[in-house]
Amino acid sequence: MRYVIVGACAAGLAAAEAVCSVDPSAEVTLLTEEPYPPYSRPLISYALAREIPVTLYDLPPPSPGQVRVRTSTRAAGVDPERKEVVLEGGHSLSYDRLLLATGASSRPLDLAGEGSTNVLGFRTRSDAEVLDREIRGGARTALVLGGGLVGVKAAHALATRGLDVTLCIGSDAPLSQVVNPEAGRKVAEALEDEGVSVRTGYRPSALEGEGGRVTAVRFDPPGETLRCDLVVRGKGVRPRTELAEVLGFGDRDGIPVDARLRTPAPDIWAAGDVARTFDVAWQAPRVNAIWPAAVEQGALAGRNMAGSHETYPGSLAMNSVKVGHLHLVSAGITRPPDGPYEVRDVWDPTAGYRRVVLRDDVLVGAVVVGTDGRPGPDRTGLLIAAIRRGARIGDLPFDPLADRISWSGFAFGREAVTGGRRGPAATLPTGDPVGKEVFR
Amino acid sequence: MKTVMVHPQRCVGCMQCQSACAVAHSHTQTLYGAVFEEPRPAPRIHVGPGPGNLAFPNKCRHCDPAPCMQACMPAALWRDIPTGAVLVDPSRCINCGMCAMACPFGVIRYRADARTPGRTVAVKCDNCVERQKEGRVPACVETCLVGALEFGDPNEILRDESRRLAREVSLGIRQAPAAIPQRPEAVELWRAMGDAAEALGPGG
Repeated sequence: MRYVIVGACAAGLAAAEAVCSVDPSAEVTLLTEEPYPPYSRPLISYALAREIPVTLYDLPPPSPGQVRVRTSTRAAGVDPERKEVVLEGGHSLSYDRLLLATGASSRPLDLAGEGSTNVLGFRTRSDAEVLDREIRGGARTALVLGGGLVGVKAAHALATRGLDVTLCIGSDAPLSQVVNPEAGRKVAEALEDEGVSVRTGYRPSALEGEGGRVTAVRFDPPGETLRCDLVVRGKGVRPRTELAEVLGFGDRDGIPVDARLRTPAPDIWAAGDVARTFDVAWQAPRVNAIWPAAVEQGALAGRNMAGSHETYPGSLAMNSVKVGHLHLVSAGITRPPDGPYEVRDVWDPTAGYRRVVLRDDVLVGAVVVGTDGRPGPDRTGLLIAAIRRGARIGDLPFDPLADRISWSGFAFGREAVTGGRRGPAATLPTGDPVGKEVFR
Repeated sequence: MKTVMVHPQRCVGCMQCQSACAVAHSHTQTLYGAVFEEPRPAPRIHVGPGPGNLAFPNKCRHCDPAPCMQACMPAALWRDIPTGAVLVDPSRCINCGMCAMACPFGVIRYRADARTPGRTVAVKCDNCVERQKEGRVPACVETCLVGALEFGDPNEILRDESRRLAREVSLGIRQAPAAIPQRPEAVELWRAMGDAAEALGPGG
């Protein structure tokens, strides 16, 4: 059986591995338009900040005997009648099963001059390498437009490299699509501590410059022009559905898939940042462009392509963001719309910020913001697993708003001895001399 | 695949497994040496209140497929095929927090590690693969005095447990359990003692 997988990042690699695990006679071709062998895309911010060596990029190649990786190969179209992927340059590649794992691309600014050499997305290894070259070539000031996850990570990485970075956000706090403004403002504070200047209510209206380079960006509102050597687009991502659109499905909200991750076309599956799967928190189809969901979907689509009949339980948006001393974990619905939602917030200077979102007493979202690892991301998995299985808040064996495990009522000896009843605390002798007498 | 099975109804919350685990993952391999090591070795098993507020030793289940492995962006988490254990490669770990976010059991922590000086990395149970190579059982199992931790093939442990139950029920010396198995007799007696002590009142 010939399998063709378009896209060689999280979903594509997981699918290739899964196909080989089910079908030992599989011939898999992985297509990537990038010139690099498979690498981990989210690591570009760490590599740009020089926090990791470049060799960490590379991911272990999937079963070399069965999987062929074709780099710098772009799929231009799909012919579902003849079962062929048309490659750019005129060649074509026939398939028995096809997976579209084309991922997403940075959302464009829709401004004139966006094609300039110093206006970049922050999505691929080439983007990071161009930014690195610009920094080594003397770029001193950078403007990051948009406070999405990409924007926050890019701003943090550029500031770590010693650039004068301004993060310009249209809304009133960073990560407005990911978390509530209260948590977003804590991220803004952490970014300021790291040397990033955060400006809210700044919408770019024009790029100014000459000779194919942008030298300043005009913001309206508030009607100010900021000079820059570099511009990074950080307004989030949008699914790359070009191939699916030719086939007659897929729009700006991704490629629709069924519970087995099949697209409406026969023998074509979709997974990863491009697939619109069932979201367990929203209880509706939604694109969740995150690494864990992409791997999960890629592996399941791969097994199903090779003949398995598994259904996908659904994805859940979750993110872990680290900025300096701050750590933010969010999952599910963090900014509930009007409706039967209840929000519980706790802000404790020592234990950090926590938010839990309930829908009819069922846990559907959570945000945990901690500093210096308190509360760290350590046990947030319990909370997220509870969201995933749709647990009621009353049924949880722990308090989702507490940082530490509650030890009240749990004393090792006492719990076992009294069978869980909490009697009055034993009265210890007070008043020093008497006490000492007693204990002697 | 052999792994550590937990019998929560036997656990008395003594936390010996925690210290044994930290010692087993220390440089000196002795309790007194481990206490003075810098960074201090961290336990990979944690005793905390579980369902019913009873002590529960919580550790990695080495799931397959493992959500933490799926969430790991730099491929620092990997599976040791011979033992089936999910292990961390500290040199690849970037401390991003994704694995802990994905772990449904909350058993991954971030700690300074002696193998990667100056960096905080993910620390989790490794099923004592090094001890297993020497033919020894994991440190937490070796030290557990009440038999709450058992090392073996999960299928065999469950089979033995259900056979024992079937035999005892058929002999009439044990009743088929409701949803939650009964606590061992020792714990029941200890609790009865506590009730008696409480009835006497303070200072009694």
